[in-house]
Amino acid sequence: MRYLYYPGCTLKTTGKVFDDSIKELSKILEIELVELPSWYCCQAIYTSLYDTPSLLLGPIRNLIETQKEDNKLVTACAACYNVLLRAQDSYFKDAILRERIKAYLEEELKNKIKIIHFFELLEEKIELINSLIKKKNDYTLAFYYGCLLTRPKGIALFSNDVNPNRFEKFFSQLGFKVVDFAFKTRCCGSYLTYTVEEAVRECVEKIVVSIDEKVADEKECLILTSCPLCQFNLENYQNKYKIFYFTYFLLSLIKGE
Amino acid sequence: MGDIRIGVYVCHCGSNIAGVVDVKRVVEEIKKMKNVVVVRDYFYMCSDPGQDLIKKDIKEYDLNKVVVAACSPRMHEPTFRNTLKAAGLNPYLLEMANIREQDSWVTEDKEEATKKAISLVKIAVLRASLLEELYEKEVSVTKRALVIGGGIAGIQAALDIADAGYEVYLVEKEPSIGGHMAQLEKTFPTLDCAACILTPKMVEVTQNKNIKLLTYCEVEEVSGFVGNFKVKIRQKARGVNPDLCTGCGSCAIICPIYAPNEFDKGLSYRKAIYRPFPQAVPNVFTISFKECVLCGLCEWNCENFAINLYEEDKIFEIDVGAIVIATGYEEFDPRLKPEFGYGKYKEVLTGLEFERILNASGPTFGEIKVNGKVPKSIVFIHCVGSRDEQVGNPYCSRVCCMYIAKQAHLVKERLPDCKITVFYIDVRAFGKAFEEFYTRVKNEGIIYRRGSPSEIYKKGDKLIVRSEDTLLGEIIEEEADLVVLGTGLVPRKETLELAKKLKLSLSADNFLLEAHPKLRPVDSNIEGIYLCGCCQGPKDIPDSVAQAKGAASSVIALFNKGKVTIEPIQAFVREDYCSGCHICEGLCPYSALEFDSEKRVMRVNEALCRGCGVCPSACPSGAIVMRHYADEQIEIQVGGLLWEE
Amino acid sequence: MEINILEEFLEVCDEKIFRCINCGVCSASCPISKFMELTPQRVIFYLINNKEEVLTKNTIWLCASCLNCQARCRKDIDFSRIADALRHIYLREMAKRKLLSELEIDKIKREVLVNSPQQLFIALQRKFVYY
Repeated sequence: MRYLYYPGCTLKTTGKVFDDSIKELSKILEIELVELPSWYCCQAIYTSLYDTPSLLLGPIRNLIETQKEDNKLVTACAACYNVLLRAQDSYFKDAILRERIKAYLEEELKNKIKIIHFFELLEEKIELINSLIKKKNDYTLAFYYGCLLTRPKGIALFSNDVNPNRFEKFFSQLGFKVVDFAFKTRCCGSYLTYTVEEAVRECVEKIVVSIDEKVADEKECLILTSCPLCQFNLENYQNKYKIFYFTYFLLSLIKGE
Repeated sequence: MGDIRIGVYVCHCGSNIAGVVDVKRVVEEIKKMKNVVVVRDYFYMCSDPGQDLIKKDIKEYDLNKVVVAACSPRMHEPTFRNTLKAAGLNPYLLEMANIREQDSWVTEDKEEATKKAISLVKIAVLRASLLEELYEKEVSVTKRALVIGGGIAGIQAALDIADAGYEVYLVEKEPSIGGHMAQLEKTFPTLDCAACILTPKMVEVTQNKNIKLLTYCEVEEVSGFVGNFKVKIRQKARGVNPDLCTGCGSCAIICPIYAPNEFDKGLSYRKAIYRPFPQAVPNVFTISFKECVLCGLCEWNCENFAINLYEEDKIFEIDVGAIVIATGYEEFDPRLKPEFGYGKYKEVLTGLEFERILNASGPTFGEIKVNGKVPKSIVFIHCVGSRDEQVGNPYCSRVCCMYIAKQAHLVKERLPDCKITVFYIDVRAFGKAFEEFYTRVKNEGIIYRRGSPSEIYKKGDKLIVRSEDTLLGEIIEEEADLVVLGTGLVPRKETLELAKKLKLSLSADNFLLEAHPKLRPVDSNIEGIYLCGCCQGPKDIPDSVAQAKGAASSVIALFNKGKVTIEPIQAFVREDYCSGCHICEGLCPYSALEFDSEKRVMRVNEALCRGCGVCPSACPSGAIVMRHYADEQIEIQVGGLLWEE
Repeated sequence: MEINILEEFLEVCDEKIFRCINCGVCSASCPISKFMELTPQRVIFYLINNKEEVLTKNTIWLCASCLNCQARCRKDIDFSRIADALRHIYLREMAKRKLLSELEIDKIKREVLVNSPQQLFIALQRKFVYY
């Protein structure tokens, strides 16, 4: 299958590991990812001011670009995923907002674009992945969802589950031990790392403690993430557990490293 | 048919109508109309002199149609129908024009209001010329009632109807009656022991000759109408002959299969052949075939040969004249709020589970223990699953505030050193002696903190409850050995199915809807079916009992009267036109249309039809006609409005 | 500053703040409410009572829009949108005095600035800078 792929700014720079592993994985799994031509900043956060629709122009412009070629768009960065989804949702829900946004743009977004998280593609290929994995290690995996993939309700990927566990299911189907810890959808502290460092430290500590509760031997446990922001904060403010992007982890399994 | 002679009466309604509408002008305009013999106006048409005016005119002018232009027909149509009846005219030859609610009350411009009044009266006169005589029918009532649900509400309703001398079937789907009340320890605010006040009533049910108790039964199907319901009932296979079983329990002793005890909310075990609790009524054992492996040990051990392992469900039919629904509630499932960790941590209990723990005949015989240890601190949480739009329950469950206060009090009594913290949003102590009880509980040293906890997680062997004290404005992380969730009340799934079968209306919160929230609180939308207890909305025991008594007296009133009148405003099928396509059948909300397989046409069951008008508008061949609202009767009104002379 | 905060708020945000029953579940679910001068629940309470001090409290700068409170709010109120709106009201008010940013870039640690994903930094600017 051929998909349009929206990397976003971070995956091109500080999150390059994530981007590279996605590209390599998709090559192995025969998923053709084509970068969206002339992609544009997703505007980093979803802002919802009644009187300033310009705050949503970025994501909507990207979706208009997509619409020229396809009706699907794959992203992996949790922030881009969240902003694109929410912007599109309010664009189609709120008629007044839609008219205001249209006033800024030459073209209009006609139909809903299906915004797909890269993980959803992997879910479909689980059998292939299972057959490709050369060496299985006996790590325990703690998947940290974070906020952007799980909220708001009814929009984000895992938001309709009472207790999200699709990642856990995925990895336990690959034969791994997974832990279900209480704070897996809690905030990592996000950009407060610049302004109120102790708040982020506290957030990360809480997450780590709640993993501790479930894991007997911390050396045997890895934290997996799918968000460059979480990855950064969890890497920076704790050194108890090793932490990887889930795509990087899968790739290293397939490569047998 | 001879001449049409119409009399028109325009009411002033004091200044209600005459203050805005120029009544004299209306009278003058209407006088010009064809077929109109007499037009009068009067201050209060509904008063005695007003009605006499109409009666006199009917005789004097030999009127055969009457139009009253006054208030809404909802208000006085029955009044004027009686006037016509008294004057010897068929009451359905009356037509009302609503020139108060639909005109004078909502129009400020006097000129416009008068014009509108003239049009409204005009079309009423046009319609009146086409009205036909209709006759009410009376049907006799089967003087036997069915009560569905054997909780405290159902028991009370059955007892009251039986005491009035009428036969009652009491259907309960569990092996014993008693319902949720049987599971409780003490009742707020008086601290009466629930069993002490309930079990005598349960025994009374078995002793009352008029009550036929049908336990372990379910209602399969209901057909018919007020006074004449036919109900199919499924007697689930119980495996034990209730007439032979003495309740000695030798079968349960020998049974090798264990299963979670539903009565104890799964906190203890029962055998596959069991009695929910020792005071069960009837005192008979039941085999749960879900778990039973048919080993036959119980059969062999039973001295009275009461056990039949190969029994099958039986279905039988009963005829009743009225139905009381008392199916009760279900406890909210806190798994839908995963942040509270219910199901994950076994130290988190629901309100009803904790009630069983407190109960002297419960799984721990009233000892409060968690993992074998006496808890040093307990946290109670209000409003779990109520007042919460995230889980779709915006309503207040009405009992949680007080049952938590009661449970906290009982804990304090048994474990004086235990630290008890209650997290609340608002304490609603609205009932009689509730506020006094709440004050008493607070005075006992139980800490009430205002705030709704957001999550419960484990740290070591302690649970941490994270909340804000909204009065202090600070975040607190309260340690606890045991957390009790004040779970709310939600409608039973079975009740929803029953509502579908009986075509009962539901309110927005999915509880059964009463006919009028204030004036008809025990009637359902279907005549002859009454509601009581928590199936209609969350309520405490006194309210349930009061409502049960209300429902029972409605049933008794119906039976005493012995007859029901059926309003003749109904649909009827012109057989020559009907093709028997069945389209109307599925649309009828009252199941009043049935297929006549001999004539191959549809037929309206006059006892069921409520004259809603759905079928005539849906009939593709125009075969169905609404009496009193026939097409031509409506068309002439519309025409009168559109084509001014 | 002297403004009618409630009026300004209702102009830019349609969140149904008057439905709030002040249960405090937002404050309790917020992972950083400990660091706030006013808990989210109190922010709404201040707002409803038209207290403009709400703008000078650090709460509005701390909310990172993780939506944990929105997911648990009994009345379906999204606090992140309220914080968003208040931030913008503040920034617009300050912009009138030619102060365009609330951000003190010099105070940010250099190694954090260099290593962090730039998405994070853009998000920060989107929240703290007038535009």
